[in-house]
Amino acid sequence: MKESLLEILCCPLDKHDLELEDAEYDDDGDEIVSGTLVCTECGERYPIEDGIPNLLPPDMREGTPA
Amino acid sequence: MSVREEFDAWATDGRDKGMEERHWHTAKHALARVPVEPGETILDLGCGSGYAGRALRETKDAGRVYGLDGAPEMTRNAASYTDDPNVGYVVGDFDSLPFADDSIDHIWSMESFYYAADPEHTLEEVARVLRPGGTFYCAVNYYEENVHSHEWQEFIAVEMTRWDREQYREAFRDAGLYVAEQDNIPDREITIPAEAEFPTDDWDTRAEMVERYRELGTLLTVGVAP
Repeated sequence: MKESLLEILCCPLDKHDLELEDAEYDDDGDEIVSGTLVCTECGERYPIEDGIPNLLPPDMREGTPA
Repeated sequence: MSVREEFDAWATDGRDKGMEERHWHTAKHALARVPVEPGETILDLGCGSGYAGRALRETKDAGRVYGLDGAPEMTRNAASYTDDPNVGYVVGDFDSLPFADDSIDHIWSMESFYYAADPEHTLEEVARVLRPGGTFYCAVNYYEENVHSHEWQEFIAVEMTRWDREQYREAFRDAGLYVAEQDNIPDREITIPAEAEFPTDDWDTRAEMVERYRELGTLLTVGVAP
């Protein structure tokens, strides 16, 4: 995912902003391939897997490797 | 079975491409109507293989296109079909959209809206994320008037919402969206065999197949955010 996506993404639960943690970028440095999006309000953590953020509410994420 | 499990399985065995081929006959006519200005941001709800969003990027110069799907495997496939830096995918749920208020110019949804667990709430979420004047193009082949679609529920383990035309308009209004348009888009491309070839594996009579595709086709409901 591109960092520009972060401008409009929010926590699916309380709609507050997300903060990017532990980001790893591709070789060109413009694509985030892995990391964690953390809600600045409730602290819920959402994984970025293969460059795709998984923003399913935590109770629907079962079976998905975090 | 959850939406995620059902459609992860579809994506893994390649059925995402089949969906794209079946939908394209009518989806392209609906996509052509979306009033996209160059540079605008599009959200494709239930994007599957992601074909619709990519078409809006290519034909209407949409600025950024995001596809959301509940099935991680679907988004993985979709991402593999493009290297366009202005196209991105997100795993998410229709009832808890992970987008900020007023952040999207237009939302597109083809053959996915009825999988929402709480469709009334999904429409409220749509109204929330659309900027004022933004549109929601909601296209479905599974709806009450299309009696030929009713049996689909038997083949899928996810509960589907089967509204009629009026219920769609009413639900859009209840969520705070203005209904700008509602239309049936016929499929004029699918091959309908000659009378003598019926019954076929899927159809008892030619008249039924004509009604399903040439007359009922895809139901499109268009909402505008206030």
